[in-house]
Amino acid sequence: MKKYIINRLLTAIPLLLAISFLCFVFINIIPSDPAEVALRVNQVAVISDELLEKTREEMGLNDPFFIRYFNWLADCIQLDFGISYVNPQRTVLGEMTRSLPNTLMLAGISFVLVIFLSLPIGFFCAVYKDSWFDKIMRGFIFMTTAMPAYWVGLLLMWIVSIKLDLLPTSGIGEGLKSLVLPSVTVALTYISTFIRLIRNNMLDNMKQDYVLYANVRGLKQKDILTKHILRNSLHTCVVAVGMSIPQLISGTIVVENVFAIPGLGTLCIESIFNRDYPIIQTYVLFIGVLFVTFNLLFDIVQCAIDPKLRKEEA
Amino acid sequence: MKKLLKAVLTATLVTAMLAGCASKKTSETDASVATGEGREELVFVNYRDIRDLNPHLYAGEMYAQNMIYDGLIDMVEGGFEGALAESWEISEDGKTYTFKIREGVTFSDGEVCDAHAIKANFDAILENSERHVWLTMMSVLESVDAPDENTFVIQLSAPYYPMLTELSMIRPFAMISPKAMKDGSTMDGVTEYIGTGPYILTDFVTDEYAVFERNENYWGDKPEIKKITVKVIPDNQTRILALEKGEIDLIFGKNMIDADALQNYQDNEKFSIALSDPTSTRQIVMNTTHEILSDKNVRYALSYATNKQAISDGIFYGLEAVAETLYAKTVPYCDIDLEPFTYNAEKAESLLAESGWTKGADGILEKDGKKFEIELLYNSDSVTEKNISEYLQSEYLKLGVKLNIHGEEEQSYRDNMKAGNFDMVFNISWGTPYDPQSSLSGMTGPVYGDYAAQQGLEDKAEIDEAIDKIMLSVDEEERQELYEFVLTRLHEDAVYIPLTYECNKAIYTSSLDGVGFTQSQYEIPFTDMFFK
Amino acid sequence: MLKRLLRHRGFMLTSGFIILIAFVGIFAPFFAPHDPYETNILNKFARFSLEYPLGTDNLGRCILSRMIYGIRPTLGLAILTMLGTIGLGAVMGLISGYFGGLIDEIIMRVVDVMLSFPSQIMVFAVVALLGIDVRNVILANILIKWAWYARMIRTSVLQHKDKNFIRFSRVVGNNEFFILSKHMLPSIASEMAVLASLDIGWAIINISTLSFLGLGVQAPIPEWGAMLNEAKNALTTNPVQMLAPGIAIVVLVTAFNFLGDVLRDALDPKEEM
Repeated sequence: MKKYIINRLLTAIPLLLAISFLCFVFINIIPSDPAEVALRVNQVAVISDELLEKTREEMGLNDPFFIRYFNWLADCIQLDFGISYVNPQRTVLGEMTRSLPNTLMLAGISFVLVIFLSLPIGFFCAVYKDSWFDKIMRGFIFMTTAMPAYWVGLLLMWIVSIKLDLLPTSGIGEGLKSLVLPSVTVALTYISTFIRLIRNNMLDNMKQDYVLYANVRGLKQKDILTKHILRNSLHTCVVAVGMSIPQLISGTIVVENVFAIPGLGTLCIESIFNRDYPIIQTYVLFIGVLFVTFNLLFDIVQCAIDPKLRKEEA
Repeated sequence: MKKLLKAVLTATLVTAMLAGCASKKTSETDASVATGEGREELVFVNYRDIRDLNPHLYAGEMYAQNMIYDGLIDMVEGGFEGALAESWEISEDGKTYTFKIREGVTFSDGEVCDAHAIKANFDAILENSERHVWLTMMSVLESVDAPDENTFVIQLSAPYYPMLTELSMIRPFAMISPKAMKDGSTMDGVTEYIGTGPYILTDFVTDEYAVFERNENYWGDKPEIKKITVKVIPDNQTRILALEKGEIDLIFGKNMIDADALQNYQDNEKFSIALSDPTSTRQIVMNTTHEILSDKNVRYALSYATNKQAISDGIFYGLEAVAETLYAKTVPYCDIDLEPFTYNAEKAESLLAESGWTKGADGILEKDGKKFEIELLYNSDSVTEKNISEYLQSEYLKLGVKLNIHGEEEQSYRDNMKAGNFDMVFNISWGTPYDPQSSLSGMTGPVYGDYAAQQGLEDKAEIDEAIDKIMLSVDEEERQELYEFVLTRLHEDAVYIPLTYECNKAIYTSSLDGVGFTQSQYEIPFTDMFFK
Repeated sequence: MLKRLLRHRGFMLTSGFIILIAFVGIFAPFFAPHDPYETNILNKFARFSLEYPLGTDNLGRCILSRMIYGIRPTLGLAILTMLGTIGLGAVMGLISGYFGGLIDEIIMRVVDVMLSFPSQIMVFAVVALLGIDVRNVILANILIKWAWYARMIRTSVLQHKDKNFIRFSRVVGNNEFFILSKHMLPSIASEMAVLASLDIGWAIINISTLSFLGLGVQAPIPEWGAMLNEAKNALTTNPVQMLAPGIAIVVLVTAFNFLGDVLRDALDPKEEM
């Protein structure tokens, strides 16, 4: 177990380095000169070539590539991601920390919705396989996978907010109330994956020998279902669900834009339009690190809860 | 399915209920929005954050700077009115301006706003004079002095006729508390936004909202409305919905509401509409240094190919009138006889043919193997520019001109314009009170896109020289003549395609009254507003 | 297998439907009542009428004609993306699985890194880097998605690699390229067909999403996602605008997903959902 964790940690490091390196290369091949931006930020009216060269020297932009990379990496580790190109009085870190809570809130509520809806639905679909409920849910899943999230968002906004006037249309002015529609939209796009996951997992487990054995022993069906099959399926699901958390956080990008929620996704899209490269770079870096971390974390969790894997390690 | 629906509904309701508990604070304001009677709080909306409200720089929202700060004088219809200066005198030779400073005015941090404080402000502004070159007064300003605490003197090296107009501008001539400066300087930022104006900024969250409260020590008439919350909503549709649902009371601005919405609320009991007189000219600037656009014939062709009437009628429902020339005839010195470019597709076609452009197999014009492909840059924060762009795209295509359109958020759109990174770009004349003197003066240096766009003109130096002369001329007749020269040249060079005369627009809940417009188009006269 | 498919009613109906849509798209000029770019700004947001069966949009263009012409970019770009993704994925997967060793190791490490990143974010990053243009969106989609297919195809290559007919071919002295293209490719073709049809649905949604956000297909091209982008600007005043393109996307994607499911069932009857 310990050996496994150390092993996993060690493999994560080169992956993180690779991601950071890609992000650094990214900002280095774009056609914008940081020295020029710095001068513009300081409101220098006339930017001469001499001045540019001097500033470049001062900012260390003439250093060899790898030295610059390591300097940049050192800055990143200290959470210094530079300043925004478009709003120079704002730091990238400030922009990120301002937007992150909104995204986390949205992702969090969506996550709760997904779990509380997909768990019972997946469970009943598996138990009453091929019943009308299962068939309807399968149809529902089929439909939701074909619906683009942004369109669902627009439809909900139109019907619930404009026609029925039940909830705020967009923004986050009314706290949690304004997050209901966006999180339902996000949840709808992820719920089908989860229902499918839980259902198939349960069905797999039902075919296992221990279920047959339990049946032979004459245990109550209800007990077999809840105590054995459900619990076993949950083990696998926990890991899959955990690993999907960063997916959810990055998946809010479109919905945030539809509902004008000032989160990371809106920030990212705006930055793409405005060519605000430092923000895009930091966003990609952040999501990358998030993915690696969660993968690592839940790999370890899986190892801890799955006795089969533990045995293999020993 | 029913079960699912039930489940979803229950979940939604539960979340909504939770939300209801958590956001009690906001629901209180909601309740007050619903009943208009005797309300003293107004919820306003803007498309972006208030940003840096340093009054001596240009990176903040002007309406907010106007609420917080005062200048020496204000521009009113037909003249000027004292603000922090009670009265003023101009010497015979037009070179010395002596202001009598209003007594007993304090900044909202308790500092006294006397002539010394005003001198400190001017010193801070002049320290960064390079940044203010667009104001011609900077080049004639010799010294500022505060001989005693009630007297402030500005000494010019030459008489300058738009002096008072420039002094009335909220930036850079608004006064901030000397305590908020950094070692007497403001060019590297200020510590706090402290002014003498009718409102005080009490709270703000970047990109979400800003709260202004009435300055109880304000020297002038105290406004009726005690508290103004400004929400940030970047999207036009969202703003309208928010108004519809009573989350905001007022939408105000030139590019904050599209004409479709105005049309929709024309005869609505719940909401009222106000339109100002034309404030400025909506126009497209062509970059004369561009390979294709440097040909005057081509610029003429595009001018003729632009159906302004259709834009005015179709996109604005006639709310914005067709603009024939760069400045409306009502703008001072601009009542000049110029022959407008009236829509004429055939003429456009023949002009292009004259210049050697022929249609290729794909219907796009070609010349020496090069396709007629140009880009039009628009401000994506504006509610109508995209629409006009798309319309022009389809219109120009009929001629064989491929117009690519590209939208950017206000700040980077402006940066690109300033740097001359455009083929064609949407622009708006500076409007009252800057037209025509300041906006023409701005063409002589890299202030906006005009300077870069005009670089390809053969007579650019001549035009600039005339503009410089205008600013310093003391003879009314000579000035008129020079204006005529400049405006005629610019018109004949066809650098600009004027589209419509823009006006300020407002939609607000009917319980609000006193919504009007002032001489400065960027100011929102909150002080006059009240709830019925 | 083909015979079974031909007798499958669902398969025939959906593939017929898709072919019909493609046909209408290819011969759009014959079906569209108007020029999709023809503006009539004085007749914007018109209601349904005989002349404009689906009404007109914000510039007075015929929505039905735009929908019909919109099949070309919507479906065409998705197919292009799919071909690119599967093509690159198949080549990498074949090389990796067939040759093994160091090449396999390198390709699989690259695949690992690619898969450890959320695909959508990578698309955004590539578009940010290369500029806002639909070509870049497609390139980004291909660059990001191929890793999935490379891994899947590698797995099936490994299953087939040691089958007798391939061993035989090698013994007779056929060169590697011949074996790969003549034996390996056909063996995994059916799996690729399933992947392809599921992938088109995904590509349609992905490209339309980017166009909706304004990062993909640009005005005035009537891609369905780009049309929804414009419809969003009239959400309060003319909400009906967003119905036609949205429903069209859902129907088309459903058709492709259904096709993929039918194909998968035909290939491997055991698997479900």
